Amino acid sequence: MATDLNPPAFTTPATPRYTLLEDAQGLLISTVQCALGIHLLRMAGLVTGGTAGLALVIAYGTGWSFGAVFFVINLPFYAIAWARKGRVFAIKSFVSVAAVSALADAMAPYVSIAHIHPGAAAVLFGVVAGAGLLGLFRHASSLGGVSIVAVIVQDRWGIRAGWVQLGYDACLFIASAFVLEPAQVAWSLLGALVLNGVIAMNHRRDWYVAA
Amino acid sequence: MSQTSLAAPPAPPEAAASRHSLIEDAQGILYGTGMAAFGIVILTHLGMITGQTAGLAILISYATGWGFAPVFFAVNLPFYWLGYRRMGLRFTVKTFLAVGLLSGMVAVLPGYISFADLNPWLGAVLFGFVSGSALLALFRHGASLGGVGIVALYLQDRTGFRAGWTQLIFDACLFSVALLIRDPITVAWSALGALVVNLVIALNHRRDRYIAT
Repeated sequence: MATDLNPPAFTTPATPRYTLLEDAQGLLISTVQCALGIHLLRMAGLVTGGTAGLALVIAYGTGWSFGAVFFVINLPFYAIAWARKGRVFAIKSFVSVAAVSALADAMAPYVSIAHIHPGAAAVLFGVVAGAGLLGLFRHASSLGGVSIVAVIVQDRWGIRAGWVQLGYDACLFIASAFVLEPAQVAWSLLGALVLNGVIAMNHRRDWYVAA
Repeated sequence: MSQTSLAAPPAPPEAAASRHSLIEDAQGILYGTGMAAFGIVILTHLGMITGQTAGLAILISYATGWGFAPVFFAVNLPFYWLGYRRMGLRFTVKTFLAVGLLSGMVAVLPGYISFADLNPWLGAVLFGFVSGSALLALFRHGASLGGVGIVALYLQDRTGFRAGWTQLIFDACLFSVALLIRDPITVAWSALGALVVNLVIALNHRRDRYIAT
C-alpha cells in the first residue's frame, strides 16, 4: 500500500538516532556486501543498473579497473547530494562509494571463483548487494549517482526508490545489449530485478524508523 | 500523501507499527534463506564451523560425510514442538519453512558456484556479514533458523538458568568438538566468523527501530 508510506510522520524529534559507531558498522557491513555482490557479477561478466552498472560496462570495454571507474563516475553527484540531502548524506555517500570502489578491487585476489553460473551470480548479487543497499539507505547513505536521485525522489514525492532506479536501468540495459552477449544481458536483467525488488519491497520508512 | 496525519499528534510506535503482508514475509524469508545459504557455502568451502544448530549440522556433516542439507533439516525437527508451545504457530511454521528452504538451497547452490581460492579470514568475515544480515531479515519477519535459542528460553523459564549461558555453553561444546576434527587455525577463524555474526545481530536487531511485525 503506497499510501502507507508517509515519511514526515516518522521524522519527528522522537525519531531514534544512530550513534557514530552504529553508523560506522552499518556502512562497513553494507559496503562489504555491495562489493561482494559486484565481485560475483564481474566474475560472471554481467552488468547491473545504477552508476555501478555504467562503471562495469566501461570497465569491460576499456580494461580499466571497476573501482577507479566507479569512483570517478560518481564524483559529479556529491554536489547535488550536498545541496539536496545535506552534508552528512553527501559525506556518507562519498565514503560508501570510495569503500565499495576499494573493496571490490581489493577483494578480487582473495575471493577467486572457480565456477559460477550466471544465474547464480545474478541472484546472489541481487540478494547480497540488495541487502547492502538497504543497509546504506537505512543509515542515510547511498552508492552515489542514481541512488541519490532515487532517494530524493522517494523522500519528496513518495515514489519508491526502487522504481526510479528501474527506469534508469532500462536505458542502461538497452545500451549494454550492444556490448554483451544476449544471454549475459538476460541474466544481468534478472540480477537487477532481484536487487530492485529487494529495495522496492523493503526500503520502507514506516517499517524502519531510525535515521 | 495524507495531510491529516501531519496535523494529528504523532502516534505512539505501537499504533504506527504495520504488519508484514503474506508476500512481504515470503520475500523476506526467501531473501534471508538465500543469503544464509550463500553464507553456509562460504563456510563449508573453508571447512569452518559456526554456532547453533547450523554449526551442529556442519560438524555432523564433516564427521560423517553426510550432506549438510539433510542433517540440518533433521537436527531441527525435535525443536518445532517446543517452538510451537513457546513461540506460537506463525513463528514455528515460518521457522520450519526457513529451515527447509535453507536446506534445499544449500543442497543445490554448490553446483552453481564454487570457489577456487578463498582467503580464510576474509571468508570468515564475509560469512559473518552475509549470515548476520540473513538472520536479521529472518528475525524481522518473525522466523528463525532453528532450535537452540528456544530451548535456552525454555530452560530459563523452568530453572532460572540464563538463556545466554545455555547458548554459549552449546557453542563452546561445538567448538571444542570441532578442535578434535579440525586444525586449531580453522577453528579460530570459525570463532571469528561466529563473533561477526553475533555482533551484526547484537548491534542491529532492534525492535525499537524496525517496528513492522
